[in-house]
Amino acid sequence: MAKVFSIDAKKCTGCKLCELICSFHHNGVFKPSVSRIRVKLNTREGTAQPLICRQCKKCTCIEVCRPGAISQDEKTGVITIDHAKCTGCKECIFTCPFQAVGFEEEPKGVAIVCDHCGGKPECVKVCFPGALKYIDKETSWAPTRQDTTSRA
Amino acid sequence: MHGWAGKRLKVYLTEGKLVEEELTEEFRQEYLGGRGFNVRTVFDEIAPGIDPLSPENVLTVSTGPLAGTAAPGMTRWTVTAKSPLTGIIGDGNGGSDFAAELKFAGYDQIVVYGRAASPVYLFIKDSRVELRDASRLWGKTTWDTHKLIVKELHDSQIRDLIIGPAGENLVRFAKIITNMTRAGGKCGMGAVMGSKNLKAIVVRGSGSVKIASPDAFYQAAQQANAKLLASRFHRQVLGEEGTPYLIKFLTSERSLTTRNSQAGYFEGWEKLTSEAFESSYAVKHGACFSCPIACSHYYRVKDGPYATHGGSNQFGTLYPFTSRCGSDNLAASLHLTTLCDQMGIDTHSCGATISFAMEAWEKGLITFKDTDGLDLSWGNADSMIKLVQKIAYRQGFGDILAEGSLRASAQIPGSASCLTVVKGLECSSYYPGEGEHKIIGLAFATSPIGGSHHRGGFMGLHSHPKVRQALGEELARHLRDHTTYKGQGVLLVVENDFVAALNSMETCLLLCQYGLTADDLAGLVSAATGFDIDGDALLKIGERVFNVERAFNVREGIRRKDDTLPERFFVEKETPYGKTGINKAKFQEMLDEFYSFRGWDKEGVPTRKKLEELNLGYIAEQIPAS
Repeated sequence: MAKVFSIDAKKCTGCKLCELICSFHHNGVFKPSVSRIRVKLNTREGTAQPLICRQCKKCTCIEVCRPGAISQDEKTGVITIDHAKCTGCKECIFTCPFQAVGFEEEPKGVAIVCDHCGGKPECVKVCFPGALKYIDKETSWAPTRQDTTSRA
Repeated sequence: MHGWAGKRLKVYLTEGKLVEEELTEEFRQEYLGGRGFNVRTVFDEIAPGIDPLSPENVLTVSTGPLAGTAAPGMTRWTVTAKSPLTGIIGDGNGGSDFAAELKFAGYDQIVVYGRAASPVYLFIKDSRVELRDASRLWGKTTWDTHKLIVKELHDSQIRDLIIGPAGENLVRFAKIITNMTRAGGKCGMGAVMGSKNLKAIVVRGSGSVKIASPDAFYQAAQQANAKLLASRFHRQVLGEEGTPYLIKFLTSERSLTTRNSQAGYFEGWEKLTSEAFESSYAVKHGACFSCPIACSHYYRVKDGPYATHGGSNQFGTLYPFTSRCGSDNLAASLHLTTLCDQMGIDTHSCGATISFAMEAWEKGLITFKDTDGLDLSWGNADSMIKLVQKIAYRQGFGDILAEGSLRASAQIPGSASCLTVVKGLECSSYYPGEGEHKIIGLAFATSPIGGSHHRGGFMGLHSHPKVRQALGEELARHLRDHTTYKGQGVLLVVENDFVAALNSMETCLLLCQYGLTADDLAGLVSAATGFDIDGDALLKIGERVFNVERAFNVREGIRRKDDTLPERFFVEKETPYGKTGINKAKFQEMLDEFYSFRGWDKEGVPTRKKLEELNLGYIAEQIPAS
C-alpha cells in the first residue's frame, strides 16, 4: 500500500536528528547539506518546518526535467532521480514549491530527493517528538497534499 | 580525520590576519575538545596578570568531537577567556546548533587575539574565511544584529555568536548569544568580545563529520537515545517541564534562593512553577541540535505591560528575576529574559547584582538619590526592567552595577555584607537550606570560575566505583544523606572530573545527570573518532582539564583562602522554614578532604607529582611550587 509522510510542524523541536540520520544513511557521514529532508528553523519565533518530498500528484519536477531523469512510481508515488541521466541543471530544485529537492555536489553534482529508504524511513525512526510519521495514504488526513502543486 | 574536523582557526584582529592550523593528535586525545581545548589554549596563550579587557586577552571557542553527529545532545560549545568579572579563568557554555555549523565548516576551535581597529565580524563559510565590517551593526541589539547579518548575507540559516550593547559597553557580565535565544552566559565573555571590537562570529558550513566505525556508532547513539527516553527524569521531568521543575523541587528542599540568598523559601513560588508557565505563556518545545529531549520552551506574553516573546524559559533565567529579587511576577521575568537576550547580559549575574542592590536598599545603604529615582524594593519588576537597560548602556546607577556586585559594593559603603560572591562571580542559585546537600556548597566554593552551579555536586555519582573504593561501602552509602560532610570532598572530585570530561566532549550536562554514564560517553567517542578510550580514561581527561584550570588560577594568585563561601552561608540557624547554613569548621574539613583526594597541597596548589601523573609536567614549572 502507498505510504506518505505526515508532518506536524507544531511538534517539531528543531533538533535536526532527521537531517543527520538521513545523510548518515545515504552517504555514511553526518552531512545535513546533502540530507533529503531539511528543517527550516526560525529560532526567534520558534517555528521549525520539516521540508520533504510530498509525492505530488502532478509533479512539476518531472515536467521541467529536460533529460527525463525524474520519474514517479505509479503505485507508491515515490520519486526517483536517475543519476546517470541527471545533468545537475538544478531546474527541479528551483521549481519545487516545497524546497524538497536537494543537491549533492560530489562526486558529479546531481539532484537528490527523498527515496523513503525503501519503505522504512530512517528519519521517522529518530523523530522522538513525533512530528514525522509515515502512514498509509488512505488513512492520511491530508489528501489535499497530493494536489498541492496545483495551488502553488 | 574522524569525529574532529582537526583544524583550528587563529584570528589576529590587530593585524587582520587569519591563520589555519592543524590540531595535533596528542592535543586532541589529551583534551578531547570544548572546555578541554580552550583551557589548554588560554593557559598557554594568556600571560599572567594581564587586564582581561585589554588586547592581550585571548578568547577561544571550541566544539567537541561529537558535534554535528547524531549522538544525543553532544553539540554544545564553550567560550573561554580570562574573565573581566573575576580576573581568573572564565567560560560560558551554550547550546543550539552553532557548534554543528562550525564543525561542518571544518573547524574545531577558533582562537581570537588582539583588538580590531574598528568593529568587525568574523564570517566563516566553509573554507572561505573573512573579517567583515560591523560598523553599522555596532550599538544594535543581538536580535537586530542577527536580522541585519541575515539580510547582508542573504541566508536565513546562518548560525552566529553575537554580543549586544552590554558586550560593547564592557558590562562585566555581558554574555554571548547564539541563535537569538541561547547563550554562553557566565563570566562576561561578551565583554571580552566587545573589548576586541568583535561584534559577531558567523558560520555556515556544508561539510561533513566522518565516523570511524559507523555501525558501532549508530548502535551506541540509538542506545543512548533509548536510555534517555526510558528515563523518567529526562523524558517526563526535563522533556515536559524543562529546568523550571527546579522551582518546585528546591522549594521542597527549602533551598530556592530568595531575596539575595537571605532565605531558602519563597512564598510566591506557586506562581512560578512550570505548570503556571505552561498554562499561560508556553508556545512550544525547542531542542538543541540532535537532542531527543527538548527541555527548552518558547514563550509568548501576549499583552499587558510585559508583552514579549522569546526562546528559552529555563531555571537559570527564571529564578534570578523572581525569587532572587522577591518577585512572583512570571510575565515580568519572561520580559526580562528576552531583554537580557537582546542586550546580551547574563541572567544569573544580572539578577544577583540587582538583588544585591535591592538588599542594600532594604538596609538603607542606598536611596532614591543613588538609584536615579528608581524604587528598589523587593519585587519591583518595573524598576528591574529599567535597571537592566541602564546596566546595558551603563547609564547612571547602571554604570555602577555593570561592574558586577563585588566591584559595585566598593562604591556603596557598608554593602560588603550583602555580597554573595565566590572569587568575584555571583553564587547564583545557591542557598544552603534544610534539604540542600553540603557538597553543593563545596562545589560553589571550589569551582574554577567562581560561584558556579555547573561544576558538579549534583550528578548523582554516589555509587561510582571510584567513590566506593576511596571511601568504603559503609561511608559511601551515607553520602546521600544531606546532613553529612564526610566523604563529600571525594565525591565532588569524581563529579568535577566527570563534568569536566563531558564539557570537553561538549555533551549536555542535564543528559548525564542520572542519565548517560562515562562509559556510554566513552563508547560514543571511541566509535566516532577511532581513539579508543573507556570511562576511566575519560575521567582522567576531566581531571587533567580541571587541574589546568586550577593551575591557571593559581598563577593568578588563587589559594585556599579564596575557596570559601559568602559569610551568610556559614550562619547556622533554625528558621520557620527549616535549618540553614553550613558549619564552618566542617567545611574546612571537607576542603581538606577535597584537596588531598585531588593530590593538591594544603593551599590548594596542584603538586608536581599530580601534574606529572597527568602529563602536565611543563605546567609545574609555571606555577609557584607547593
